[in-house]
Amino acid sequence: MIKSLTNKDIAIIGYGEVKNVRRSGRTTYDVAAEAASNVLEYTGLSTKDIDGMATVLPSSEAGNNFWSNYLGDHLGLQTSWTQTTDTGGASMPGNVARAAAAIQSGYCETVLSIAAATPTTRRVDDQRSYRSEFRNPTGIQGPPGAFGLIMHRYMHQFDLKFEALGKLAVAQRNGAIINENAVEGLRKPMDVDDYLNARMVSTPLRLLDSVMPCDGANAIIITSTDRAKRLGVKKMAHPIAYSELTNFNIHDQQPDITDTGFSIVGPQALKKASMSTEDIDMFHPYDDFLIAEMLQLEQIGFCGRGEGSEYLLSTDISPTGKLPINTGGGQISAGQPGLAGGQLNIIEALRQLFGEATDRQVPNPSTAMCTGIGVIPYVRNWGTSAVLIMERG
Amino acid sequence: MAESEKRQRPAPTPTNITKPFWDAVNEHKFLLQYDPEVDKYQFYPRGLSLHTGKRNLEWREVAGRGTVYSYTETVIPARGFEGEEPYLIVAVDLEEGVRLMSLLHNCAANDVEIGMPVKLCWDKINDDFEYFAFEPDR
Repeated sequence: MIKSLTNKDIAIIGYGEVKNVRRSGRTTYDVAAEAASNVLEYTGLSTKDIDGMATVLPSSEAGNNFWSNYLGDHLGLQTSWTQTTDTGGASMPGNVARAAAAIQSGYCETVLSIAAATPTTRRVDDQRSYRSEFRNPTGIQGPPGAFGLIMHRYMHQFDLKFEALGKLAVAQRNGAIINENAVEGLRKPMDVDDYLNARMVSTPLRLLDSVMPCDGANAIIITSTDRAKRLGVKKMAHPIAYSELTNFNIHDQQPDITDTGFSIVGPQALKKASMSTEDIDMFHPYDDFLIAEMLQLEQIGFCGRGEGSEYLLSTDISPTGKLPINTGGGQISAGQPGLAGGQLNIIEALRQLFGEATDRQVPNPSTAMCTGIGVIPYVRNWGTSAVLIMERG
Repeated sequence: MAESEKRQRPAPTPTNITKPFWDAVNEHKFLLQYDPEVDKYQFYPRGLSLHTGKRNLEWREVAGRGTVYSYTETVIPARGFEGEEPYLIVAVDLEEGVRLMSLLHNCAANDVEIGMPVKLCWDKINDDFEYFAFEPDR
């Protein structure tokens, strides 16, 4: 039997975050340095206490095939385990599991898991294969176009109520307004009518269905629970279950694009944790688009397939509600710092589990579910689905 | 933006895998990769059979008839399509059991619907490239 996370022998002991800013003019290294410095200060550790590093390949540095080496060098880290993950927005929840496995295997003891990206200052990514030949020349509007196709298909098969998506947009905006690290331009109130009246990008997907790209960085420190106790750490969270799946249904040439890998990894992660959705105190889903969150709610099992609209309309998703969702605004209202956006939800979940979320604090949460989504394949739903369940230590 | 400065629609860059496909498109023919072992087609073109992992693929010309699986009207244009908006993009299930996407021509936004029959048509991107698109099959 492979080692599991359920015995809580792995601990996340701190977090650091940089404010999201559009066109910051900063390098990826500089925002990474700020996030690293912040989490080291939070934990009282120094760079010499870190012996492992995990990161994500951002579009702002994707031309560098020695990215981990350069980043670790800039940050002053001597590491016995080093990992760059390139499954997009699924990379950082994935790195929690990868770091845990490395620690359990004895490759390292204390991992800085850091995500940094400055895509609104510099973009050097170059994706070939289906993208350059079969996507870009068609005129589809990138991810919004792909999700426009998904939404129309969903409307064909199920009942989609736009006021439910609007409610979700407003709930997250309320979090961003009181999140000092959110993009400033988004920290203003909105209501459901603002969502419904927003400009169309690629029908039926509106501007306010989408993320706002920005620059930013964030970092967490993962170690063994034994070492966390030796360090005298007071606050920790244990990753207790993780599942990921890449290229769901790849052999099906005409798949149902309203279905995703979450149909598998959602129930699987809950089973690993011996939990049901009722045991999840708050949900911090990856949110590139509002509809993606609704699909996750359905496929993980918070509600049935096609019941996402009714579920959202009938559930209090505010910090004090039955299922708080993306309490810091998520990427949709706090901004998406490129592929570093895939750890914003983990940072917010830790802030909540540690009781440090101030005006948006969820009352005494003990569990959190975070998710990740990676890549838009050719006329399919997203490529990687990842679910991470954490429990307060 | 002056016409001379207008961004060009991106053209595909044929590879050793896709060159036969694009050569055929330039002659208004549509080829799909076919795996004779399992009697299945695949799209987009790959270096091996999606179904068996073997490299025993053949190119077969197909009629290019299918039905609309989903659609979206692009209101904010993609790079190289400035001034063309709004325009329709469709995901199409071909009779041969594969799905592809491209522009839908000769159809008003109010008239497109899921399940609608469509057939291939052709766009001239530049002097060197044609591209496949769809139109209603009435």
